[in-house]
Amino acid sequence: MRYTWVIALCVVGALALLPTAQAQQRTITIKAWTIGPDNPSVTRFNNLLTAAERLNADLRREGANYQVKVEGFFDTTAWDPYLRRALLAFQGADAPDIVQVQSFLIPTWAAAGFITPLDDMIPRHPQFSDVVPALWSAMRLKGKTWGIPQDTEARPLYFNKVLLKRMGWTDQQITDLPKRISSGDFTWDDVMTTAREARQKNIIEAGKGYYHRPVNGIDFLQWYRSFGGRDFDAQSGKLVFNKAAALRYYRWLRAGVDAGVIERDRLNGDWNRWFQPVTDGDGKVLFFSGGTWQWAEFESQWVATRGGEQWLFEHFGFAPHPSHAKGGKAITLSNPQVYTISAVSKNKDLALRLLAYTTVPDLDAKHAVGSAHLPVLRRTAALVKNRFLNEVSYLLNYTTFAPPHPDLPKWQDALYRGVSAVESGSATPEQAVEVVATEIQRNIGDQVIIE
Amino acid sequence: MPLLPPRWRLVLLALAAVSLPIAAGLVWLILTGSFDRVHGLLPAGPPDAQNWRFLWEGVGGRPPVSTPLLNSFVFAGVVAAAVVLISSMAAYAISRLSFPGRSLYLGLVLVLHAFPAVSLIIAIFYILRLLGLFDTLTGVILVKASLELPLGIWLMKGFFDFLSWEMEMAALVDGMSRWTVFWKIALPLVRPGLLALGTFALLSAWGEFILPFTLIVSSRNWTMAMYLQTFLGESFTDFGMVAAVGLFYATPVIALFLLGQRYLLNIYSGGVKG
Amino acid sequence: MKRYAAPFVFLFPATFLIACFFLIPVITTVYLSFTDISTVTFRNPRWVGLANYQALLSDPFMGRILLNTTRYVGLTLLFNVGMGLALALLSSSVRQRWADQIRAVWLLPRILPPVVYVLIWQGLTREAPFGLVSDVVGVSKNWITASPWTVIILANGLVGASFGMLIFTSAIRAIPNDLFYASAVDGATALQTVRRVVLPLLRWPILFVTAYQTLSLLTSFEYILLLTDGGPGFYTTTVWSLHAYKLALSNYVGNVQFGLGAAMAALLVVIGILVSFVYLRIFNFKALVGEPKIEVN
Repeated sequence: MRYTWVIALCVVGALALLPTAQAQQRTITIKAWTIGPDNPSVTRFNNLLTAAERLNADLRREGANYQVKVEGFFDTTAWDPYLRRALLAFQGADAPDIVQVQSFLIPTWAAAGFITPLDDMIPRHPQFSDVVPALWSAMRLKGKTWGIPQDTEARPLYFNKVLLKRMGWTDQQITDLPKRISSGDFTWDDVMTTAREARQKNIIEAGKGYYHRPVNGIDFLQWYRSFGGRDFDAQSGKLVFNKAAALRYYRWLRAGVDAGVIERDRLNGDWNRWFQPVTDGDGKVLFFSGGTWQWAEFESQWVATRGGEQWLFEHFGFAPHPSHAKGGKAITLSNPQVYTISAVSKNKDLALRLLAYTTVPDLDAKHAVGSAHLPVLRRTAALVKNRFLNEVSYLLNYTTFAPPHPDLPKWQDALYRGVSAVESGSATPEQAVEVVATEIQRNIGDQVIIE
Repeated sequence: MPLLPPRWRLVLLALAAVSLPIAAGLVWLILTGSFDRVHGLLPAGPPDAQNWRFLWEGVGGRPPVSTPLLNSFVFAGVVAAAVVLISSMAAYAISRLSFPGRSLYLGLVLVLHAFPAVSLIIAIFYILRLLGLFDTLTGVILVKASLELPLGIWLMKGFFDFLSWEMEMAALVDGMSRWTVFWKIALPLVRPGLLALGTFALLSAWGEFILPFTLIVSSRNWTMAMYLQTFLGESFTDFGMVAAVGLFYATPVIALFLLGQRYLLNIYSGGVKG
Repeated sequence: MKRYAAPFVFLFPATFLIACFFLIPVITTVYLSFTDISTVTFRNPRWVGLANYQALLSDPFMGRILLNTTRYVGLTLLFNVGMGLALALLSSSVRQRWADQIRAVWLLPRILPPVVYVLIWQGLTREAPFGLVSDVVGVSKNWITASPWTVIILANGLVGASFGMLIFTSAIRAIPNDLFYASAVDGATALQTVRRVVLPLLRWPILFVTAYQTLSLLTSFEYILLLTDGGPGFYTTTVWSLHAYKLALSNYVGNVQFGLGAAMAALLVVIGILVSFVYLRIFNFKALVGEPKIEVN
């Protein structure tokens, strides 16, 4: 009986202390949406988690009364539903704080008011000063910076060394191929000739001379460019559509389909049926346009049991994309991934600080090596002892970015429709160019120059 | 038909042959979910328990399967209950009561069915945001229930029409309120219809994926359809595991169906005496 | 006022939901079809009058989409109603317990969640050695890519047939046995009985199923989206409703053209309404509506 009041006192005392304890630990939730869709890029989300841990440690040291918790997801499905959900989410006050997106969408999102410019806040975080300077241009629209680079990549033309050898190419010729492409000696016409030869000699099955992606994507821009097209007029800030270049590109595709080296339904929407033939046996596809990150996908998911990277180096080579004319400039495209901060976020400063903790060499390297993307920081190169990344980084010398215009998606869609029509035979290249030009003119109006 | 034709066994054979592809599909699903590799309909590898690992671990950063499973149960159940109740109320009024605009109402209901529900999505999104129901199960439940109403009202009206109204008339004359007549006399008499509609609505909501897919965003509000869909979109499709998830998702429905089959087949038998 | 209290109470919940999630969105969609609403202008759409409709009419590929839609609706409807009728008649001609099992199998495609159902189709139509169809036919192809229309119609048909099958079976069950006995006494064969007794009594169910499924097919695209996504290649299997959905919500390159999609949806509504009026005209809507059972008020 007499100990009851002791217990009561303890309980009261504990209760009195509780509010103070709670006041010590406020948790601020940062919502972050990330996407691959390639599986190996899961570091885009996990790096945020690691950064949060480090940030929390520093917060504790600084004596702050709050901690940061990262909530969100890493989407492995496709861009389409991800972007749709983002579009809807941005309409409300509870949009996620951090949204990862492809840099070519920055002009569209900035023009729509979805994301917030970061120029004022960036100088506060020294980590950002080490970012490769060229990458910032992909983040900018109208003089403001709209996101933090998360990674970058290049989009090479892969070729199958084993199949080339079977055609009679010597090892030296195969090793020289990337150089010949880079110097403009090996053009798209040469690609076509080689593919046709392979088909005639029955080294490859029908349709497996050249593969490109099975769905819409920014890659089509680089191929259009490689055929001599320009898409942006820096002086007027308008988009450009060059009919002659588009015609050359469409004609090349059509010739490929007619010669039986490109599939009529190459745009079948199924990534499974891109990866599978490319890696089946010794690889069944002679040339295929892709991205550097696919190296990691190949390695971890498709040839993991057959020797992983070793198999890849023995079977695949890579180079920038050829030009259409002898002596022309080889080309590739980089589409950096960007962390953006939404305009309605209530934790902009904290979110950016979190991103600063994510933009550090060790996390940058972890993502680059794990997912075969290219790092964004200059210091990372020293940390990365990865053969593929070292061998592929020269592609960045030939790289280009998407033009900074909010109407780019409409331009891109129209170009893609043309490709689809031409490959499936629904329209001749000439017809397709006319239709695309009309559509671009109608949808983009005075923001585009048709030449 | 009460009298079987003399060579009914041949008819049965023909029916069985035509039904074979569907059975083959189900067999494929079961086999692919159970084995490592399946060629056609023959297992070509060992049984693979790893296909079912989604049951005990969160695969690739997804929430545990219990979350979407529970959400699906709640979604399907509430939608079915709402559709049955609301449709029968409206159908009763159309069948039994005279009010201005009655045939217009009925025509409207049929015509609404023609509107591509999914093209209403953006507009529905605005409304849900206004009501504070975006990214909630409640919101999607309301939308799905509403979209099922045209069929529900149409079906239940058919049942009520078939019902002889003597008992209701007698009850009204005795002074019972119309609601009590509806609840205590009419509804029990159309029980087969209620169960049929309920089953339809339950099945429809269980499989629904475009609505939650577009209107729900947080993984904690996923339904099973979205959970499965996230596996299908990947570039490297592990058919074994995907089939296992599909099988898991479809099992409650198959079980439910086996119980509700009798009711479904009785849709048109109309009222019950007594 | 009190006279209409009862109808009001009974109709209120349904009317409220229909107004909220059908009527208001319909009006909003029609309004949006006159604006240029897209990703960038999502918050501030501008009125553009008939510009979207003009764009649709001048699009050289609209004709193809219309053709696809007609093909899809026509052929699938034929399969649905025809197969549903055949299944109902045949299954009513065998012993009950076998009939129940056959009908159960045919209900499977309908009750299976679409995502699972499509997964099965994808699995069966793969190239050899995985795909059953390739094994059976002897040619190894991806059959969805090789014959997209066949797959689409069959896949939708297997789902759709069960609706008719159920309705027709129940209707057959509801036919009084006396009519069958009388027919047998008259010496009619099974076929004659079907023609003279059963089919005439199935007129209303056939109407209902045809009307309902025509409208369903005009607006459904879920299975097409999952199976072929409107491809392969250029609008091969794209139907009107699918194209509307993709315009409005398909986003790969971040470009949502909701105004254009809304215009397509609005046109689809008009077509749907016209079709329903035609059906109601032909099949005597007045008789359908009938008189209310209890003459209140």
